[in-house]
Amino acid sequence: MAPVRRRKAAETANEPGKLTIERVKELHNQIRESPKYYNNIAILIDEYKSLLKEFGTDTNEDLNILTRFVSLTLLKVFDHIITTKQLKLTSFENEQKETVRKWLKSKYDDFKLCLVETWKIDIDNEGVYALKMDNLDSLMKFIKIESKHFSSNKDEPFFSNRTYKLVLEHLLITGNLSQMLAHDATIDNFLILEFRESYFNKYWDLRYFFFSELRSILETEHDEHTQHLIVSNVITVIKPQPLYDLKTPDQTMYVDNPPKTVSNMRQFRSTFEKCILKLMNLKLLPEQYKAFLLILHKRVIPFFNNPTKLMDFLTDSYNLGFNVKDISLSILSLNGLWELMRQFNLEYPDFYTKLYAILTPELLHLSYRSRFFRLLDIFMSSTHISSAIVASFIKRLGRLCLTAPPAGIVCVIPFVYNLLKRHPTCMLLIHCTERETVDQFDDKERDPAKTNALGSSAWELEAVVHHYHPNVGSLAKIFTQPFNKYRYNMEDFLDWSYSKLVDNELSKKFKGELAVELESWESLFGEEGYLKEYVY
Amino acid sequence: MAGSQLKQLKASLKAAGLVGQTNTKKKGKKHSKKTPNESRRDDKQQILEKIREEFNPFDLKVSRSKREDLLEKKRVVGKPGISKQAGEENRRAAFEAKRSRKNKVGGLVDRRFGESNTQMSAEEKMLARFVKERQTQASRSSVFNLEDADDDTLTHYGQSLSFDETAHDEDEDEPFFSQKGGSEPAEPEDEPVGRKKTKQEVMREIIAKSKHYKRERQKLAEQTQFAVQELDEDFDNVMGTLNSVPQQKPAPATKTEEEKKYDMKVKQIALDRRAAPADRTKTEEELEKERKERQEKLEAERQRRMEGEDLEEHGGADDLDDVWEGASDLNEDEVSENEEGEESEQNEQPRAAQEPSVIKIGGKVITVNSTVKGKCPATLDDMIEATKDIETKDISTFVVGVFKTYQPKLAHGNKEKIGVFSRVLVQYVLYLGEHYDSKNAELVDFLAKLIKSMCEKYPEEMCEEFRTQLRNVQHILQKRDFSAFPRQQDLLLFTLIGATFSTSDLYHLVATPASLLIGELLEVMQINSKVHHLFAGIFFCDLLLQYQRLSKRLIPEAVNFLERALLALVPEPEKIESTHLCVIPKTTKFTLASNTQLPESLDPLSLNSWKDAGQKQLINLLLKAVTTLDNSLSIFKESAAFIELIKPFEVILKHMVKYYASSSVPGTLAKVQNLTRNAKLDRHPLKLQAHRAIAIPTYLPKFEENFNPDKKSYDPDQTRQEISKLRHQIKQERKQNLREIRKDSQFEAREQLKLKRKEYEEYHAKMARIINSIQTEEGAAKNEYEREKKRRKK
Repeated sequence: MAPVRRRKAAETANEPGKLTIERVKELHNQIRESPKYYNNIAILIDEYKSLLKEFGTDTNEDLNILTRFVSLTLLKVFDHIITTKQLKLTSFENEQKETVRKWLKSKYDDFKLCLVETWKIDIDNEGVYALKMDNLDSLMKFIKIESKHFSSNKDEPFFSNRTYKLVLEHLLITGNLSQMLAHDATIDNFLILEFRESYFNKYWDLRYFFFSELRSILETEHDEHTQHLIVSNVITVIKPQPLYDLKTPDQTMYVDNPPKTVSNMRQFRSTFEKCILKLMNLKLLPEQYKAFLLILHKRVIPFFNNPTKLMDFLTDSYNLGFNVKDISLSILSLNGLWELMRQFNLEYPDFYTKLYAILTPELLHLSYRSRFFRLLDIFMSSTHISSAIVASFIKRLGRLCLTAPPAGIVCVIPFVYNLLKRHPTCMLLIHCTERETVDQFDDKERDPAKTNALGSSAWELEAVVHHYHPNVGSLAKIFTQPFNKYRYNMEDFLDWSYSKLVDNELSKKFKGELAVELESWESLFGEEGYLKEYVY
Repeated sequence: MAGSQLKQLKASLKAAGLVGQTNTKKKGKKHSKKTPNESRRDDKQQILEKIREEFNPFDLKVSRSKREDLLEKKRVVGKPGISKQAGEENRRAAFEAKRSRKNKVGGLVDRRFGESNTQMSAEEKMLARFVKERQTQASRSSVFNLEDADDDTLTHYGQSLSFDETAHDEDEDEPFFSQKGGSEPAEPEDEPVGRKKTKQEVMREIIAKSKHYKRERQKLAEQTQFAVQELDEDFDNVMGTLNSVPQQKPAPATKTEEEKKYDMKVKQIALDRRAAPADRTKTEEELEKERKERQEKLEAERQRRMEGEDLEEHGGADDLDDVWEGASDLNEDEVSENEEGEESEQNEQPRAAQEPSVIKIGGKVITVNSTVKGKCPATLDDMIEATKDIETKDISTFVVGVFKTYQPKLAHGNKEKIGVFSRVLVQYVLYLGEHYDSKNAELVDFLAKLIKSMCEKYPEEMCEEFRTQLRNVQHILQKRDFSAFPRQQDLLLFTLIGATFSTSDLYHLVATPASLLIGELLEVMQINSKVHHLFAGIFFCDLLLQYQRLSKRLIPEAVNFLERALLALVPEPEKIESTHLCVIPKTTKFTLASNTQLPESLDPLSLNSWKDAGQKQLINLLLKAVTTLDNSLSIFKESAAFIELIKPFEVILKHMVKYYASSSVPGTLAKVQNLTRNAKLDRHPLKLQAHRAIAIPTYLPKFEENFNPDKKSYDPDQTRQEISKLRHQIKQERKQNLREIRKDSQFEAREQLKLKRKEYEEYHAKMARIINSIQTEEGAAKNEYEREKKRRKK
């Protein structure tokens, strides 16, 4: 529905004097008095449009208040008109009434358009924010009223899809891509946040129709920028909480009498499924791609009729990670894949080979590493994996430690300990008395079952004992001590970071001793200095 | 025995010869059995007791053991009924005694003011008591209005306890009097209120007496004063007469110069200090030896710290392990911020020492003549303000001057001021580092040395200051604003830490967090886009190497960074085989052209030109990175995983040799390959789990050959046996006592209940009686009334 704006010079219809709140009140009262003053509606709408135009040039408190007052008045007027059923089509009507109805209808549509148009105003201002929020609330109110009074029969269920679509169409393209938060691709858009908190999360019917409307919106062509905006907004809406409780779907409705179809979960799931697949097939930004992968297993898969439809997407992105050498993609899609494997028996060939391929040196530097280790913990928890595979993993993880930050090493050590505990055969890696031959580990082999890691030793883990950070070093010493502990709780070790470690160090108490360097240098830099190869 | 109880009783009485015929004589036995009548009366009693016992079998309780056959002799027979009764009686006696004493014999009631009040401080208590004392005084003087209240002071052995000076003076005059005067008026207060008349009389008497004494005292004082006055008047006369008598004194001072000198000498000699034997001057060798010994001792201490043995001693090793698990319970007790003692000293002008003082800094002796006027700089701004007019080369003199003026021995509070000033110096050095000027080089070095010596004197302040600086770096890092770090002063800060503190320690309050922060810096450096990040990164790698030059610990971040740095600079990186690399090689902004040549040797890099992205600088950086790699081989080769560590570098070096055959690269590569070969030969499988075998505990019971049921314990350890015996005893005693106490309290409760019941009954009986009597009276009165009424009617 392309917005058609009929432009009328506001000044011609009205006396040239300034519009005041009193005048608006007066016009409003006249409308309430009798239908003959309905022309005032046109006046008000025109006034409203001209006021909005003014927003572009200057903004002050009075203008703001006036604008909001006008929109409120119009809201009241249309509320009145709708509740008195003057907009409703009845079969036996005289021509005159029909004309009035048509005219009113066109004005009403015009006003709604006006309201959504305000969201395009691109000014950072408290007043403008308030106005936009007001308009969102007004439009949602119209939806409610329309749904109540526009039904063909009294008590006939009805939901005002047209208006909702109008709202969504404009709402989803609000916001600014520059406000997108890089880590989860959600957008810091107050309108969307307000919509999410006050409407979407509260009412089931709004959620239901959201996706059916979204589907039709996505069917129309958009340019790339708009697509990105829509995707980010949708992610923002669905990210924070699940669409409904899987056990007891909550059925709070926004409109009084929604169509029966809203309680058809199958229908909803299939719409949702189609929407999401369509969104995913759009050209996504890398952050959005990752964001989708991030929310997939908790927010999307449970609400699919047939989650296996995601299989291709997930396997593709899993492999894509290896191809473009961005293993964070693989790690993220692994989560979704695991969900599919667990619940829908997805067969995945060469699973451990692929998993082994994720263990690249950059893994321990990534922020997703704790996520990966949680999953890896699950995958490696089976005691039926062959020791050769486990040994390859241990060997590879040990090698990663040589270039990893302390927080990464801290994840690996207890994990390897748990593996050794579970697969005592692998103790050969840290304690071997028979063999005196050379290292047989083949680090180029991609298949963990064939690396021959059991014919090697985990020298890398021993090297970590001499880590510069005393706590990491002493943690690594667990391999030299008797294996008395049943297992380590991985959660204690996954979420460390530099800042936590440094805070930990800096909060230690001074105990009256501060060891000073024994050697002394003539200067800090240069010959005879502490650092000889630098000068100022 | 058979028959009823009565028959049995009769039979036994008869058998004992207490009833029936008593004088029958048994055949063949002469007085074998004495009857009670024949012997003493007591026997009869005893026999009766015995019979009674026999007839009351429930009074006896025999303990039965499971091993009766073995322990027959140990059978215990008790009389619970009787012992219970005895206990009861004892308790009753005690209870009665206690009850009779109740409310009659008093304990001690502590009426002292605020004695048991824990809320009050000692000072408040004293004050409150003083107030109370004064109040009692005041009220007393109004009650017994003596003429002069001054006499009513509390005394102790005649010494006044009050603070009144005048009263004190009087006491000195008449030491015994005030004692009486003070104590007597206090007495009547204790008189019971009941006997009013006598009290009044007594009071009157006392007042009269005290007035009398007072008058007498005044009289005496007057007399003394009068006598003194008279003496004073006569003094001149007496002196006059005395002076008129010619004196036999030696001739007045007509000493010659020589004599005077002599006197002076004598006095001087007398005042001279006795010469003490001086310490023997030590020979060069001895001094050398001493220095060596001290050095060795310090080195041994450092070694210990490096191995982390100190930590183990203090139970620190356990702490290290616990860090990971209790991630949340940090910051339990905050380090108390040292208050900067600058309240009153602010205005105090320091007394400047007059003689030139000698200050020793970093082995250099500096003699300073100047002192500094004005305040000791307490903030960086103060310092900058104070030094802005001073030439750079004189700033060191100024700083030394401050130290001299505020020597801790000169004034109270100077120690704190110097502590604060040392902190300011650290900030100042960093400030100089940020606004660097080549003129400052000497000053920075001087201050660095000064800071090091200050760290020995003020470890807490300096530790706090360095940690504050580290926190600043951390905050900047956390913002991830890549243009804001690293600052030039950060380079200086970490260098300063390295030169000041013992970085080889396993754990160090400043060095450990500093290393961590450098690690983080190396992780986040954007070396592909910012040349100063590349420079700073290589600098930090060098610095970390220097930190670990003795302890040789592994720094994974530096390994990773060096590889990244080399890959960012080497020409045609795509040609490197990437399977062994940590980073995928890509051409970057700083990739050198393939036709560049590395210089033979490397000049020192200048910190000031760190943002220089020219070709020459990049070549220098590459060469520097190779040199750093070469230097770090000494650390790598200590590691068990040398082969794995060096593998990527070997690949890169092999690639580089193609371009730079005539530089130090081939040498480094040869060294690497040599070391790798050796490492491969040296490599043995790990044997980390070669622990001493641990004994498995057995749970089979031990068979005792000569088992004796009487023997309580078979413990071979004598002391342990003793202990367990004692423990057993204690347990028994405890049980017994508890039982006693329980019985006591039960008894008491019972008695009290009884008493209460008795009281209650008495009360009701009394009430009934009263009501009864009233009713009778009432009835009588009523009858009389009726009668009277009848009579009147008549």
